Amino acid sequence: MSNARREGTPDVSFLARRADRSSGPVGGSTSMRPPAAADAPRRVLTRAEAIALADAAIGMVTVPTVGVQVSHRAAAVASVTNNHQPHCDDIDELALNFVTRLGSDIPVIVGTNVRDAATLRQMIRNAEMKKTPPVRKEDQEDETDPDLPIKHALGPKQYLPVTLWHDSTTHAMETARGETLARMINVMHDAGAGARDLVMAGTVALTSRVRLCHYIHGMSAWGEGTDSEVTVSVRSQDGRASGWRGQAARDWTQMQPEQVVRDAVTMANKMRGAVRLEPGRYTAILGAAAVGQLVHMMADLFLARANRGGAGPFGLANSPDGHLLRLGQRVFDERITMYTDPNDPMGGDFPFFEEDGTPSGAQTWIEHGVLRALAYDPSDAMEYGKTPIKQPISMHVTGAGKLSTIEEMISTCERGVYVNRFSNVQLVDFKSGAMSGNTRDGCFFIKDGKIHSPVTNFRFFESPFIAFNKVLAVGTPERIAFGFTPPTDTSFGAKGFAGALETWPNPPVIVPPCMFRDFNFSALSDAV
Amino acid sequence: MSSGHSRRAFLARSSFAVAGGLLGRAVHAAPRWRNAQEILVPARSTRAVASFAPPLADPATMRAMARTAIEAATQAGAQYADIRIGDVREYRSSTTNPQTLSFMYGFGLRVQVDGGTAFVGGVEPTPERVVQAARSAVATARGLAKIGGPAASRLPAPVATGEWTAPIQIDPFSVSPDDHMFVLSGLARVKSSLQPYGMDSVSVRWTAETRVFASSEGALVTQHLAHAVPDSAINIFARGTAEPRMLRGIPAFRPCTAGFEVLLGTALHEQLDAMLQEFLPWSTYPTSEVEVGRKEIVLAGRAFGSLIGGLLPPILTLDRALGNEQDAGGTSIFAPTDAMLGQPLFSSHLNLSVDTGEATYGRMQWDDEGVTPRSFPLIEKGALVDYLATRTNAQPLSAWHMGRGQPLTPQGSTWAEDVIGPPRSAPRAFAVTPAQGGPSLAELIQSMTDGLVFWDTWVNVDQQGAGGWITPWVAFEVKKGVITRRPRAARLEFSTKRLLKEIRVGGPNTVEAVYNERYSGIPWTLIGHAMSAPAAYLKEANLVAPELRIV
Repeated sequence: MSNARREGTPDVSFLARRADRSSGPVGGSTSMRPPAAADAPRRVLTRAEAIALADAAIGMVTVPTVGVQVSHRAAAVASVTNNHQPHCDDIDELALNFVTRLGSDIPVIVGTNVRDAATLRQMIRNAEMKKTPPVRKEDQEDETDPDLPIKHALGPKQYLPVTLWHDSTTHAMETARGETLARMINVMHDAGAGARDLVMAGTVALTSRVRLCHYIHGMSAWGEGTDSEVTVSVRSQDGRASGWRGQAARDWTQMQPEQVVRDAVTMANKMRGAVRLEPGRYTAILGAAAVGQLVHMMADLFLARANRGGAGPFGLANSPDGHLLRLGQRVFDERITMYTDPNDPMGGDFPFFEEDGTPSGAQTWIEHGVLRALAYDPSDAMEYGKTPIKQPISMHVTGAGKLSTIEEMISTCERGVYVNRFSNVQLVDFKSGAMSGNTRDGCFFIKDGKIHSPVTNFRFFESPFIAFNKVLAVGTPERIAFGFTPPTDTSFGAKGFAGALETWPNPPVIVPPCMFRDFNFSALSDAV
Repeated sequence: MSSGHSRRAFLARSSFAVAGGLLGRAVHAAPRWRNAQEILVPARSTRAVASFAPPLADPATMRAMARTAIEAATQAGAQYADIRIGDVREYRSSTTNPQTLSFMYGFGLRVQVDGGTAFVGGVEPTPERVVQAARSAVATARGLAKIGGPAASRLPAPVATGEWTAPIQIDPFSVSPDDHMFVLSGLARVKSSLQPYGMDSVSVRWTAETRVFASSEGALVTQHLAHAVPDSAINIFARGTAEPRMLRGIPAFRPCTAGFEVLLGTALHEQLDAMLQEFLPWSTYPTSEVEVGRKEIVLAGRAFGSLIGGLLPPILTLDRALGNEQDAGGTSIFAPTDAMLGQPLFSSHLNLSVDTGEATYGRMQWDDEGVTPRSFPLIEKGALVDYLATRTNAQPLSAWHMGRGQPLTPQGSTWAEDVIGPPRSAPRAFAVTPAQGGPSLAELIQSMTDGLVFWDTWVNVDQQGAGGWITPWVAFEVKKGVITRRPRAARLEFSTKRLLKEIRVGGPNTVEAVYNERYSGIPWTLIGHAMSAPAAYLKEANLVAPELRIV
C-alpha cells in the first residue's frame, strides 16, 4: 500500500448506511418492543469498513501521508429526573486524523451527512488546504528507500487479543433506554411507604466505539469496545437525606439497573435523621466508589516528570545518592498492588494501543507496596534513557491476603466513619498528593463494631499517598461508576473539554473498599 | 481597514501596544465545541484570519433549513419544536502560544411530544439531515412520553423575527494574524521595564457566530454575534521561578461584546503604565508561611468576582434547585424555592443581577428560546428575588412573581454555548453592585488589623453550594493596615450562608471584571459568563494551610 492517489471511486457505501442508521428512530421504538439480537444494528464501523474507509481516505489525501487514524464513537444517554422526566441524547462521531510527513496532522470530522466518496473527498481537500503548507519536491523523502526509518517504526506489529466488545451492550443501545428507564421508575413507584417522599434522578448511558490506526508501511491496529453505566441519586423531598449507587460494565448483561435503584433508595432511607459528628481523624471505611474517586485523581502523579526531585509524592529531594525518584522503595502498605491491563476482564483500556499503534502492555505501578514504575512520555524517556511508558488512564487496585467485606470491616471498627462516596475531589497539593472534597450520599458513624447513626457530611483533607500507608483492611475490587458528575476544575488547561459527551465514559477504575486509619475529616459540611 | 503598511501605521498611531497587559492564561485550552475543527494559523501571515477557515454559511440557507426542520418536526407530530443552527469560529491570538482557529457548523433540535422531550444535534447540517433528525427526535420523544409525566408548559413570549448584528467596529477576523501579533507584541516594551520580573504571555479569544433560531411558534431570528475574552490581568512573576508576585486586572479591558477596536486606543496604555507604577512595589514583599486561624479577608474585585461567579450562578439555577441535576453537578442549598424567595439570606450589602448592558459580554438580541434578554435582579439588598430559569421550567416561580405584582415573564437568558447541545439557563453576564460611596481597596486594606488580601482566586464548591474553599493565586498579609508579607500558601474555607451574610462590598472604583466557566446540566456542558464585582471584606474567615508533607 502506498500513498498513491487512487483512481476511480472507492466503495464507501457503508457511510450511507451510517447516515440512514443515525437518522432513524432512537431511544427505543415507539412500541417499546426490543428487536431480536440478530437485527440489532451495529452503530459503529466494522473493522473491514474502517480499513476500507482508511484506504479510501489515504488515497484522497494529496500531501505526503504516513497513515490515518479512524475513530468512530456512538453513545446513547438517557436520564430521568424527579421520578418521571425523561431525556435522551444520541451521539455518532466519526473522525479521521491524517498523520502527515509535514509535522502536522490533518483532522477531519466526518459528519453523518457524508454519504459518498465525492463528499468525503471534498471534506479532505478542505482540511488539507487549511492545514498544510506547500511541500517542495526536494523536501520530500524518497519513499522507495527500503531503509527509511519510519518504515520500521510503522511496520506490522503483533497485538494480543483483547476483549472489550460485547454485543449485549450494542443491542441495549437500541432498546435499553426506554425500557430500562421505565423499569427504574417502576421500582421507585413500587418502593412502598418508605420511598413516598423520595425523588429519583438517574442516568443510563451506553457506548460502542472503535479505533483504527492504519499506516502505509503495514501497521494496522484495531480496537473496539463497548461500555455502559447506570447511576441513580435519590433524595428526600425535605432535602435532608440522600443516597447514591452506580454500576459500570462493558457487558450490559452484568448490569442490574433495578438493583441500583433499590440500593440508592436504601441508602437514602438510612440517611434519614443524620446527626452531626465532631470533625477529626477517624478510622475510615471507604466504599469502592469513594476509593475510586481518590485513585482516579492519583493518575497525574504517576508521571516521573511530576515527581522528580521531590516535586511529587513519589519523588526524592536531597537524596544522598542523587536519586530523584522513589522507584524500588516501598511507598504503600505491602498489601496494595496497582496495575493497568488493557485486557483486564473487569475493565480494560480502550484503545489498547498508542496513537502511533504501539501496543499498550500491562503495567504494574505498585507491587505489594513497592513503587515499580512511573510513566515517561517520549521526550522524558529520551532525556533519561528510559523506555516510554504511557501514563495510567485506567487503574486496578488489589489487596493481598485476607479480603474483608464492608460488614466485616465495620465489625472490627471501634470508632470510625463509613463513607459511600465523595464529591468535588480536587488535588490541592502536588508535593504530598493531598486532596480535598466532601462526603456525599451516605455517611455513617461506626461505634463498637456497628453502624451507630447516619451523620451529616464532612469535608475531608487527606492524601491517598499517605492513606495507602495506613491500611487496616482491603475488600474485593469492583469497577466503579462515575456517571456524569462534572469535573471539579474548570481552570485553564485542566480537563479542558466542552462537555461530558466528549469524555464519557471515564476509563475504568477498579478498586476495593478500604479501611484506613486516621483519615482526616477536617470540617463539617452543610451540603447534603 | 486598509492592508499592509498603511494598516500597521494605523495601528501604531493608535498606541495599541499596551494590550500587552493581558495574561496569557486561556481559560479553556481545547476547542470549546464538540466536533469543532481546529487549525494552527501562522503568526506572521498577512492574510485575514477569516481566510483560514471555510467560508461562512449563508444565513438565508440556514434560515431555510431551520424552517424545513420545524415543519418536519410538526408534521411528524411534535407539539413544540425549536432549532438552533450556528456557524461559529474562534481565534486565539497569543504572544507565545500557537495561534489557533476553531470552527464548527452545527445544529441542535429540540422537540416535545406530550411529556417526552428529545434533543438531536449534529454538525454540517443539510436539509436532508435536519429533516431526518427532526423525525428521529419526534420518535424518541414519543417513546419517552410513555414513561414521562405531564407535558411541560412554556411561558408565553412574543414571537420573534428579524436579524441582528453585534455593534462592533473592526471585525477581528478581518485582521491578519500578523497585525494581531503586532498589537499584542507591544508587551515587549512593557516587559523590558519590569526587570528582573517577567510577565506572562498575552492572549485574547475572539469569537464570531452566525446563529439562526426557529420555533414551531413562528419565531425565526438571525444573529451575528461577536465577543472578546482577554485574560485581562497582569501577572508579574519572579524570573526563573514563575512564582506569581502580583496579579491585577486592567479595568478597561474585560470580557465584552466588541471587535478588534477594543485593543486600540490610548486608555489601555495609560492604565497599564499607571498600574505598573502602582503595583510593581507589591511584588517585592518577602514571602512567608501563612498563619492559620481566623483572619480578616479582603477580596479584590477580581477575587470576589471569581468567588461569586463560581458559587452563585450554579446554585441559583432553577434546574438545580428543583433537583433536576442531582445525579450530576448536584442540588442547591437555596431550595425549596418557595421557602427561599424573599428571604434575607445574604448581607444587605449584596445585590446581584443578570446584566445585559450595552457592552457586556455575550450581548444578543434574542436568546435560544427567542426571547429578548433583560437585566433582572437575583439578589436585592440581601434578599433572594429570583432564580435562573428557562421558559420551560419557570412555572414554580409564578406564585412568587404574582405575589409581587409582576407577571412571570421569560428572562431571555437561555443559551446553548455549544449549538449541538441543548440550551440551558445561561446568562452571559452578571454584576454585583458596588456600594455607593463605599470604601476603596486602599481604604479596606487600611482598615484591617490582621488579615489577608486576595487578588485572584480559585474556588471549589461542594455539591450543594453549601460551602467550599478559596485558594488565592496571589495574596498579601496585612498587619494594622500595612502590607507586610506574601504568604506562600493559604486556603480559605467557607460556609456559603455565613460568608454571604457577613460580606461587605467596596465602592465603585474597586469594580473589576472576570470571566468564569462552570459545568451545567446533564450531560454537563461548559458554559461561560462574565462577572463584574467590587472588592469585598470579611471580618472573620477561617484560614487554613493546604500543605501536607510526607516526612
